[in-house]
Amino acid sequence: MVNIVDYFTWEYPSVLKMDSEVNLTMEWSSNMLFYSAIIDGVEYLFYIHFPNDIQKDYFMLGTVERENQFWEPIIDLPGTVKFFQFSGAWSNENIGRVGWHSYLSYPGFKKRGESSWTNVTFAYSVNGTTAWLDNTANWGGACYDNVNADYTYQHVHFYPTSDGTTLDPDTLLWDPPKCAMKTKIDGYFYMPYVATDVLKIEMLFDNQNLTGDQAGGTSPYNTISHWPDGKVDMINDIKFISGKFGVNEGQSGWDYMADVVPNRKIDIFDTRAAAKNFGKSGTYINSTNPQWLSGVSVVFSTGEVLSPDSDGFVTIPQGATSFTVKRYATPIGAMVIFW
Amino acid sequence: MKTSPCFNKKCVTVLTLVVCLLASMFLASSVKAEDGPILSKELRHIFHPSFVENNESLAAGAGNPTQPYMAGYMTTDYLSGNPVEDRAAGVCVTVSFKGTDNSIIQDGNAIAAGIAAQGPSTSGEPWPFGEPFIDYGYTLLLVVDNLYDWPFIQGIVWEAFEWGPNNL
Repeated sequence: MVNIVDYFTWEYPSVLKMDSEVNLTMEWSSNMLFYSAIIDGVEYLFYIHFPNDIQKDYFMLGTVERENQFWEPIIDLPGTVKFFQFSGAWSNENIGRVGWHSYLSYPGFKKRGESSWTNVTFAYSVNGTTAWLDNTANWGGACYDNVNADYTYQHVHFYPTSDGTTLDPDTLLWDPPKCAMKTKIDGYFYMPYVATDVLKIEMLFDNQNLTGDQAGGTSPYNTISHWPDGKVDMINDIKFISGKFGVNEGQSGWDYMADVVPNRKIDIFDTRAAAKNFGKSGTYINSTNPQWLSGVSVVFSTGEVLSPDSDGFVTIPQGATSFTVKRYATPIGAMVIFW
Repeated sequence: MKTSPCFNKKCVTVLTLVVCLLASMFLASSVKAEDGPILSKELRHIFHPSFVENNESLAAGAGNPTQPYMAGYMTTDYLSGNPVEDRAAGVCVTVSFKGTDNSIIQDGNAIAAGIAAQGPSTSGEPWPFGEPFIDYGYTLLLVVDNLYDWPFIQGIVWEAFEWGPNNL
């Protein structure tokens, strides 16, 4: 049995438009649940839920196999409880026509006792036949047939199809990036052996002083250890690169971030590139500037020239072995993440 | 003073018009509310869980209608053998219906996107030894239908009773 215990509707016609990007948030604080949203950059707090005596003040994360503690010795329950779901298409009945779009991005969570938000690094698809919220209840209840999705890291675009294609459940929507590279201001990169599907331009630089700034910053990805911090120094950068000296791609200890002069090995050229800029600093061109990707293209060895999407993603053409990042047709340095 | 039926009729008509005018002004201002947000205890659409009484399949019916649903879900690195990540004080996601033509949505229907999360209760012993387990389902959804050209936000807290006296 399922019952509604609290509910609300919030609207703001002059602010909340069809094209609005809305960051929806539910957050427990002081044993109250706060509902808020950031709409086109402005935050609105619109509702507070007061829990009852037995309601725990947190959300579950991850997954667990279904179980029935009373009947479990007799009945083995199929399926998995998926605690945190981000629904992209949910209707009373199938709309059955093309013309709608639903975009999801950056699902995240804040662990208890922590102050910062963490983005979801592994995500799969699910439909209403297996979207278990606990052992006995299931969100929705049916598959949304004729609905497919395009997906890249932490982004999903759900849309209806007219040819019957439907996103399969348990499709891997994204997993963590495999590696990162930051080379020189000539914008040249080889394609890492380990990742050839998608790349993302994280930041650009046209300041020669930033060549060799490979570490010292905080990485937003738990699989990327080294991240630039805007200055070339001994402790973070030169020590990191020289510590990889002599290692070739694929060998134990290899890190693409140390290959500043890209040739699939860490050698004197890499250490020299960083040492030459010792003590220098600069500023990166990144998403803090809304126009930062204007005029940016990626020229692949296959001859294809692709522009990144609004988040910097580019699908890597099959067979590409290298590429150059350009801005208004001029090569530019970049920090690139690979999947 | 005695008044004519015609005069009375005119008065009633004028009064009715005034009332209608005032009512329409009031309603217009409360519905449109161009300058501010509207928080209401109203549910235009209910996006709900389906309850499963047995272990076989979802039973659709008047008391348990199913809704089409497609989503992503957070999982963790199965290779680590620890699928349960942890407990969260907050969850979030960014959503948009950019490019949607809401005139294609049928009357009474809607499309929703957002968060569907779960939180537990302190109730412990399973029936028949104690209280049934209760899990809470939390939805926070951006919703659009064909009534208005703008989406709205809707939140619902559900309680879902595990197998116990409520359903056995």
